[in-house]
Amino acid sequence: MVDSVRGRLRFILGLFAVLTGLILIRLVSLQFGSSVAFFETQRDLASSYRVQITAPRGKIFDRDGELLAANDVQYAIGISPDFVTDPESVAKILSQTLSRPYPELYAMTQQKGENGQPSKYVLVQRPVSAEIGEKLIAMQKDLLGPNLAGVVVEPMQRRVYPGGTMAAHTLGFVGYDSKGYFGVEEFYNDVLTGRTVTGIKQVVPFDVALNPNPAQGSDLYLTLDREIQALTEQVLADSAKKYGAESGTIIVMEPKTGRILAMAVFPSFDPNKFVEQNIKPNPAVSAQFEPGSGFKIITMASALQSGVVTPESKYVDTGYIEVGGVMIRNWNRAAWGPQDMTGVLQHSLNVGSAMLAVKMGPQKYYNYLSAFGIGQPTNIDLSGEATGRVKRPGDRDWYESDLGTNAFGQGVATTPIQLLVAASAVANQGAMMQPHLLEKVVDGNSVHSTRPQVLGRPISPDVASMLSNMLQTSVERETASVLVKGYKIAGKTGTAQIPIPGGYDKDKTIATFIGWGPVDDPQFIVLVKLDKPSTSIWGSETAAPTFGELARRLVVLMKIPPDNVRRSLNQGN
Amino acid sequence: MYMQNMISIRSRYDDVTRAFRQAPWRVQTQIIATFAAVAVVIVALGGMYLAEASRTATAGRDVQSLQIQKAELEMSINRLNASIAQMKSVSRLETRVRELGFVPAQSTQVEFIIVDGYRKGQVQTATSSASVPDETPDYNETLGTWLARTLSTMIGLGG
Repeated sequence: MVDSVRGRLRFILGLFAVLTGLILIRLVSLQFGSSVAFFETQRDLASSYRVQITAPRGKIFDRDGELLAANDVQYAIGISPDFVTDPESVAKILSQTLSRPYPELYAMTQQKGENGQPSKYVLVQRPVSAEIGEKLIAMQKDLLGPNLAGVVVEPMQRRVYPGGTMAAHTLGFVGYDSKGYFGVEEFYNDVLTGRTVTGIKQVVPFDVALNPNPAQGSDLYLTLDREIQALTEQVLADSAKKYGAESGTIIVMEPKTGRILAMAVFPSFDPNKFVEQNIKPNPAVSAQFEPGSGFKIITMASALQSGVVTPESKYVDTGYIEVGGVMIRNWNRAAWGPQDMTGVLQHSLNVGSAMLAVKMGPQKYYNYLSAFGIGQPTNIDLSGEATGRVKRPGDRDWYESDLGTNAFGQGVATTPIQLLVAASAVANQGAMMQPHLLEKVVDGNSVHSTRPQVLGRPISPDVASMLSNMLQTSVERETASVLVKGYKIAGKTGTAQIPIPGGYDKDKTIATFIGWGPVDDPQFIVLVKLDKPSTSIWGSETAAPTFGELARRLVVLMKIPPDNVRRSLNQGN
Repeated sequence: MYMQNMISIRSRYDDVTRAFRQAPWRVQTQIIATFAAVAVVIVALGGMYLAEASRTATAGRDVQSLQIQKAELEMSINRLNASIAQMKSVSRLETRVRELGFVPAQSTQVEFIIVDGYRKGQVQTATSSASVPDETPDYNETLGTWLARTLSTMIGLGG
């Protein structure tokens, strides 16, 4: 009996020993065997996860350090129907907070995917203000509050433009994909965007480690002056309303440096609400138009530089000239009789301009247009710049008559910035400066400044000075609306016809004025362009007074002393 | 003399051996004492490990908490900067100055004064403040390094 019991006990002990041995073998194999890597991965998955750490986008300032584009925090509100336990409560709270219909939100809590299972995530609203987002987070944390299980409140970096519509076309905007679109935001996207780094978020405090700090995007300081920009936009909006223009553009530039001080576009848009608006590229650099009489500045500069005429050269204006079999007439179809070159500019005579182009001949004339950069991009630091177009001898669609019509700005396409830069050669002693918006890049402690660069010298300083004086005389005699008391202003009006299939629109025009001042020490050059003004088709009656209004306030904002005071100051220094 | 000493030692050894043979509890006490000493050492080491692990976990929690706080502060700074910029927007400032009775100056209303010897100063533009390099060391001390450091400190203090 006793032996039998002992035998059974031995058997059971042996069995347990074998089982214990098996467990030990398994434990050893798990600890040191081939499955180690698998279990380590499982542990890592459970205790940590990868996170993308996005650096803040660089800010944009004007030249005085005033903020034009900054970063703010807003929230994206979503629902994970998988995790919603109280759909009525979720729909009710979101309806109250977001002012959205209850049935729509309730339906979102029940939304199913293609496989019939509850959806993983449904976006409810993006963006919502920080106040609303933080209110919902507080409700989620409140244990006694409503059951908001399944509501996802995610913070998101969002670009904000404190000026609203101010300089919107120049700045552009940043989409939800954190990429810049249009303007400076697109052109300098790589500079503004901080590098995204991948970090590890440890759930277990024991393993927590410091994540790498991603490099923040560089800050940009633009050449824009927000006060001049605001003034320019205000003057443009007022003029568009006053003259019934559909749209318009004004660019203010320093002719000596190429710095863009203001670039106003009407109508503008609010980049803070880019989703709700139909946004078009910046017309100051992308709109191609036939420049009309403003182009006579380029024709006259070319003629003076080539030596075919001098300011005193005279001709008898008969009211027409035939070029390549096409009869070219003056804007009022009148004969203006004996005229000198200042008279051609003063009365904006098409016949006189065509005569100059014919005298130069196509090769010389088009070479000058190339030297002025017509038909070529200026390479301004803005996205979406158009090239314009000049037909040349040898092109399939060039005719001899184009030489005559191009001379007064017909049959040639330029952009506003191209025309302004070309005219700036006359204002700036014959040198065209590279137009630019970037003043400097601040990257941490390092600062990279932009230096003014000469784009070309199509004419000599003497010719530039002569033509400036001629344009000053012509506006003093003919366009009083642009004059500023105490300052000498030079400029030229333009009234461009709008090409339509089969010819030109008879009723609608593009009115322009290009002017600069003070003539002997130019601090600003301005291009005003009003599209399809309804009160008058003429640039002299719409764009020119707009320039005058702007220039009178610009000299105050830019602290430009009247000519006599400035000369005294210069003598004093 | 030498022989006498040897006999005396032998006699004492025999006495001790006899005493242990006659009282086995003395051997057990010795074994228990040894085990107890080992157990105390193990418990002490375990306690130290636990204390260190606890401190590490607390530091980890602090780091997590500071990381959250840092993110919240950065968000707050961004919001405040945007808010300041909005407060300083041209349209808002213009409204305020008009409310205060100011009007835009005309060129004819501005008087320029010539001051002998005055030269226009250079315009200073604001730059962002210098960033402070992050010199916070990584927390990577293990129990072994902690023990070595503590012991070396103690030895250093003793010396």
